[in-house]
Amino acid sequence: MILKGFALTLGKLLAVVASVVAYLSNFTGCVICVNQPVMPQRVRMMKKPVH
Amino acid sequence: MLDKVANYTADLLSANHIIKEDDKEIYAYGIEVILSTVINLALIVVIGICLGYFTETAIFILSFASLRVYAGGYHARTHPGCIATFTLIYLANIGIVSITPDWLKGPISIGAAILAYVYIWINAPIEHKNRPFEGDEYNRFKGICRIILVIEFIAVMALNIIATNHHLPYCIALAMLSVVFVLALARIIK
Repeated sequence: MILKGFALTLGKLLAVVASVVAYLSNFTGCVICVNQPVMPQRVRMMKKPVH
Repeated sequence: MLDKVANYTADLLSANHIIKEDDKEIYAYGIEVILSTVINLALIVVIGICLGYFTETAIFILSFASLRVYAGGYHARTHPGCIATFTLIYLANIGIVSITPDWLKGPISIGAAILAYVYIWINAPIEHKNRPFEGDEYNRFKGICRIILVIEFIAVMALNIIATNHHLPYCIALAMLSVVFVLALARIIK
């Protein structure tokens, strides 16, 4: 039970970091390294304000 | 392979109701970028420590990464190709730093910085098909790239004048040349 709670917390942390990285990638031309994954359209839409 | 790990992790997060099913591709993309960046940077930091070039490695990462993310340039098709190319660029930098005599580092760093300045000013940014520019992104990235370029150029020139040891500006100038290399490679492959 404790381990599952720990894993869920880690998962939430990873999800937060991943979403921040995806959002911030909208503000750079490419990633640092030499492989650029295909940027999904939904990642681009994160930048656009919701009306 | 990293894309499969990223997709699997996103599936796992979705199955445990941490993220929404609809948002999986956003998280998978973020995880893939994190994994790719961490693996590449960790690898060259470990190599740098093992070879006794930690400071040079840190300067390379800072100078190269800050310009690269706005200048764009060549991207490998696969992650193993990416890791191999990035490591080779880094090893070439460290190799050149280690074999260059101290008295040559000053003049070469000035020459390399001028060459990199002109080339990057004219050619950057270069977009990649996997991350095409939208709206005013081209002009925005060009502006930011030029600001970073000017800062690095001034740093090389100022350190050559101020410092008695030209090792530091030499490392920055070589990192700038590495950006020239990835930009030129992108043009050639195009």
